[in-house]
Amino acid sequence: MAELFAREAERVADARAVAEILLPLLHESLPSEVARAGLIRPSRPVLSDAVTLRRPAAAAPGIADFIDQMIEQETATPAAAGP
Amino acid sequence: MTTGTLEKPSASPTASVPSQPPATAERASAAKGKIILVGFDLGTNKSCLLAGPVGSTDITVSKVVPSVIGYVKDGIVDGIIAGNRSVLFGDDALHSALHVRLVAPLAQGIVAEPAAARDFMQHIGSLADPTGQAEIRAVVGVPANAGETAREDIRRAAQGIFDRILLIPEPFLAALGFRDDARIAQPNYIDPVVNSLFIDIGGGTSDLCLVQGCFPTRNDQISIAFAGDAIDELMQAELDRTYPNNGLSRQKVREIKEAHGYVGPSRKPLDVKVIMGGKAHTLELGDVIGRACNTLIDKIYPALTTLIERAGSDSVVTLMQNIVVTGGGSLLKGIDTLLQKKLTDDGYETPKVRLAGQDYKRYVAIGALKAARAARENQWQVLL
Repeated sequence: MAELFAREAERVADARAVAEILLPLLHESLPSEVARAGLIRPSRPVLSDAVTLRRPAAAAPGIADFIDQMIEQETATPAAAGP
Repeated sequence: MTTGTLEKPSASPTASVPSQPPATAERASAAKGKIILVGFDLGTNKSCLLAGPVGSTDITVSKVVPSVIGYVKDGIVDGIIAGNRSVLFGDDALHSALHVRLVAPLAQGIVAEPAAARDFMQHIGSLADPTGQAEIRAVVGVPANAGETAREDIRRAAQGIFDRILLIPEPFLAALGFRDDARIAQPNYIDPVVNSLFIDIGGGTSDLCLVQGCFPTRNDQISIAFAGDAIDELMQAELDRTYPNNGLSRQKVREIKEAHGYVGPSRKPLDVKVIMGGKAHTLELGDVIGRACNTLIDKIYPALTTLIERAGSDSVVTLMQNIVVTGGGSLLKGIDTLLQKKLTDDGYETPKVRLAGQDYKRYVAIGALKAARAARENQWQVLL
């Protein structure tokens, strides 16, 4: 049974690999209605490392949130007495 | 003097706040006419004021004012001073230098002459609200890591002039001001507030600040009491040594620096025409200017590398691409290329240092006005 499962898993993996190669070609050749129906999912563009680095992991909080953070810092550790 | 904060803000940051003012602001405005929001860069040599009504994106006042007051001397004949005023401000004071006692209210970024600072704030208040009827809420830039005494001095100077106040470090405001809000959503836009290092070189202080998506802590900021004024002092000392009895005023020396200042290798010969004793002279000032200006680099470069090393290892590569020089010091010729070269020579990975550009005078005030527009009711300090 284990041998059978292993054989089938290998067959599925091979089929998946073929599908990933064929899908973009199918998307180009099939009528647009089929693509719009969601039957074909176009491949995702691969981001270059440079673009990945430039895009921040999370957007900055709002300015009011920055001010909240500033007030929390001031409350927690007041500014030194000197100038 | 006491201030009041209406209530403690919530502990955890929330999503960005809409720009529309809450209802309480409208009730307050009914008591004192309209509300005017002010973004104010209180600089040692030059201050920048931006103002506009609450609930609007209009900027109704935009002025750069030299931070100087002229108290008219006794015995000045009527009609010599326009309007026979007894106190002049900014450019008016400088243009009447012969007839006034010039006083600089600030030194090294903090209040040095409290009475003059108050007079100056009064003038700023009248520029922001000529009617004197509006409630003024002002975000004021302060040097990075300014102490409580310095902050309190500003509050005292503004008491009775601004109704509410927020003091925020200048380099952070510069990052906010430099940020192009229209491009935040663009995928290739590098938001300076998310990961950058700002170097704000003013007249009194040079302030460096890591801005990495949250309000900078004290550890993210360094303030150096060496900036434009200190360069002027060095230049004047060396001029007096090289050309005794030159008679050049500090203001004239500053003008020479602003026109010819540079950093990096000597740009000798650098001939500058000056009037001494009524006669024109050409002075070779290449090394005088270069030595004085390069002293600034000697001071700020170690602070720059200190902050870079404090940045997290995951963020530092992008940070190195976003080093921005702003303030009057950004006009020093070659400052961007020199800092970038020094970083490269010291082994830092692909640094990129750029200048803030021609709007350098306004970025702190722009950031301050943005902050004023976004601040919630309970974040303002009420000046009692």
